[in-house]
Amino acid sequence: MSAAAGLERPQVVSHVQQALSYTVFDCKWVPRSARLLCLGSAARGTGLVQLYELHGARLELLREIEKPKPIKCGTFGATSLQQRYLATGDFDGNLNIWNLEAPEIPVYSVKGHKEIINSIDGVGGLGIGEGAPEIVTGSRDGTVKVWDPRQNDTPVANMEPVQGESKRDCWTVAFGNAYNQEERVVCAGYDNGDIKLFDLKTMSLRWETNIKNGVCSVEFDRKDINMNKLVATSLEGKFHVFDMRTQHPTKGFASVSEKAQKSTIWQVRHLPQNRDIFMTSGGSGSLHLWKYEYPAQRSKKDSEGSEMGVAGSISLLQNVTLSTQPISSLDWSPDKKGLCVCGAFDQTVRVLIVTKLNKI
Amino acid sequence: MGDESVPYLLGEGTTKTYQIPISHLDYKFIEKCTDVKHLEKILRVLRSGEEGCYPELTLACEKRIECLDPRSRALRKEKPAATASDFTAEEWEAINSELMGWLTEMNEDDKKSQLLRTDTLNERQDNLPPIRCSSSCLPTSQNKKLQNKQRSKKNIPRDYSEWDKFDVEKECSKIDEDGEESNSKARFSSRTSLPMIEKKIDTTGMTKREKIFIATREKEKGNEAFATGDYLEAVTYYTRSISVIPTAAVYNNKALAEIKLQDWDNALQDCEKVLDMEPGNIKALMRRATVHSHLQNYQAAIEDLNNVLSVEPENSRAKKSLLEIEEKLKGLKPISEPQGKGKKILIEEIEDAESGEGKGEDTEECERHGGDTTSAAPAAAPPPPPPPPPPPPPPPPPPPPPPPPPPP
Repeated sequence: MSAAAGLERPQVVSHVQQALSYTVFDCKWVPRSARLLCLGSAARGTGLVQLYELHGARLELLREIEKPKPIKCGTFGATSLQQRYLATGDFDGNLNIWNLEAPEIPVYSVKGHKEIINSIDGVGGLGIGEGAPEIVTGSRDGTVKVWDPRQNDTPVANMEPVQGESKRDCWTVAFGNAYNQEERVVCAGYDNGDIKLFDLKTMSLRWETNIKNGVCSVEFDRKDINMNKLVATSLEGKFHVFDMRTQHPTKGFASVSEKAQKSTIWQVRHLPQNRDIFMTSGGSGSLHLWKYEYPAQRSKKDSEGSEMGVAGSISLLQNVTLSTQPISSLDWSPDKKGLCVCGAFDQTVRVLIVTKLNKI
Repeated sequence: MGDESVPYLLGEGTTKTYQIPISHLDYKFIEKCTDVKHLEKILRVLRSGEEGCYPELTLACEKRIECLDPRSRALRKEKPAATASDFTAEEWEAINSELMGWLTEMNEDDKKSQLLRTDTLNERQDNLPPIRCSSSCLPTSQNKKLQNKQRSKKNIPRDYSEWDKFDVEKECSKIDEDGEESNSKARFSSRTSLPMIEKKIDTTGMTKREKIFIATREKEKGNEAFATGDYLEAVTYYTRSISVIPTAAVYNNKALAEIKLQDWDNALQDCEKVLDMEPGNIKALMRRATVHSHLQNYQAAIEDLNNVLSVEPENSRAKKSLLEIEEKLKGLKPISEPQGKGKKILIEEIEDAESGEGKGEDTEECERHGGDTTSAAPAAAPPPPPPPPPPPPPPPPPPPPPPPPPPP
């Protein structure tokens, strides 16, 4: 009985597994193609970018690029659909933008941070996000910087701790609210559980909270709409979904949380074709596919008449265990619904197909 | 191990963890038990194997929990990814061929795009908005760095360092005193006024593929907004999609969103546009019939409904709407006709937006539920139906279909 019902749920199918000879930190689909990139660190301490193409049931290595420093993260978010330049952050704090057809010299390069760039995000490219293309980087040096590829050397915005304050590692950054040319927010998560929402239009802190455990990954459900939902994952297997449509003056945003498993949740990624479905990847090598359901009323008035949000509920659609090592990176294909790639610390990259997403 | 466990089982022993009486590890007890938490504990004990290995009992316990609370966390099991053996031959074939089809398409696309390149790109670059400077909307200048430092508005923390000096209590009290903080502006603006979204998208320099991608994305955003009841937002996104590539499907969806907003004129226009592109489009005819009905152009509505029925004689919604209109025409039509009530029923019967991806089902069901089901998206907020029933008895509202199956 439950088995039959089980078949109606989305299934996560393992399509290709590729063993790598290096540690992969990030994997990304190349937009408008069946190619994917793996970014990581080779044993001898150099950075590697490998470009694979999906051919039937195997991955063909098209190109391998080696760089002096190990690469931690990358994004296509700020590039146009034609150029498809890759922006990367490396272990040394350098932000580089590469043209993969001519990767010897970066198109843009800056030593943005003093320490490793943990996380990077881009907006305004690929037809996603109104306004200028921008890149945000979050680093262990505690700062979050926003860059415009047209401006060399200095960031267009910089969020850093004050002198004398202890710096907290910034583990994750995400853009959101980019629905017109002026509006944009950056959300940053830190190792002490802080989540800060910085409004780039007014250059001010719009909201902050603390979820008690280090924040491993934050993502808005869609970057280019009036901010709707934000998912923040943390250590100890918990993640929170915030309803960002209604901000209460003191209580901030309403949220619902869920405990997925006992280990760290490394990444959260929303399905590009449906903002209410997202996948989390865990330290125990598992992937969980979730669906968010909205409450009947998304906001209500509190005793003083201010609007406050009402969070909905989360249900688990499917879960699979792929490995014994953490799955540190995850990316949905923007072009094929249900196709995703994940990279794990067992030096394997896997291409998965999630079925039946249309029926949800 | 067997010998040591016997004394436990013989007497009124309890399990080591949770101290559950052994007599509870029993089929009859599990079947009758309604306390999910207790069952979860029993399940954990059974799974751990510390009282012995009882696979059938474990399964029975899982079934019971699923029966009571399908969302229970205890039901989550680790399992490997699915492979071909988990599917029927046809399903696997379908999955594979879909993927292969997409791969071939991508290959071809790629080859084409190699050829068209960079000229269009420079056009786009010039159209980009200026580089951000720390305060808003100022005349451009090349010297962004200096401006960043010099420009300072009172009380706006301009960089992170100021955040740590940010005193929440003080700020809250400032807000109470009607502080001019952009913080509060930012908050209020998101609440009281709708976000200013551009209705047109600048598509200079975009290839056809890019345009399709963007138009589809805007349509998806519109569908998502529709699903959560943000009809104005939905209309905006549909408008944006149309500004890139006008398609019948998007006009259709836009018409439905406008019907929800009771924007009859625009809805009519959009239905007409669909019918220009695709004469005989059933959904457009149904929707136009609804609009006509609300504008009291009953003859036109009847005509549209008859058109639908000539193509789909079994269309139950069309039949119902036809009946309603005929009854309205027959009976008195007081001006104060509780349009609300009539509207409400008609809205419930309208087919939902075309998502092209089967998303529609949910929306439709949630219409009929009127938002009672916790798992459905909230229904539209039409004006509350006025209390007195109209003289011609309205047809009973369609029986709600069974709620969508809860995720197992």
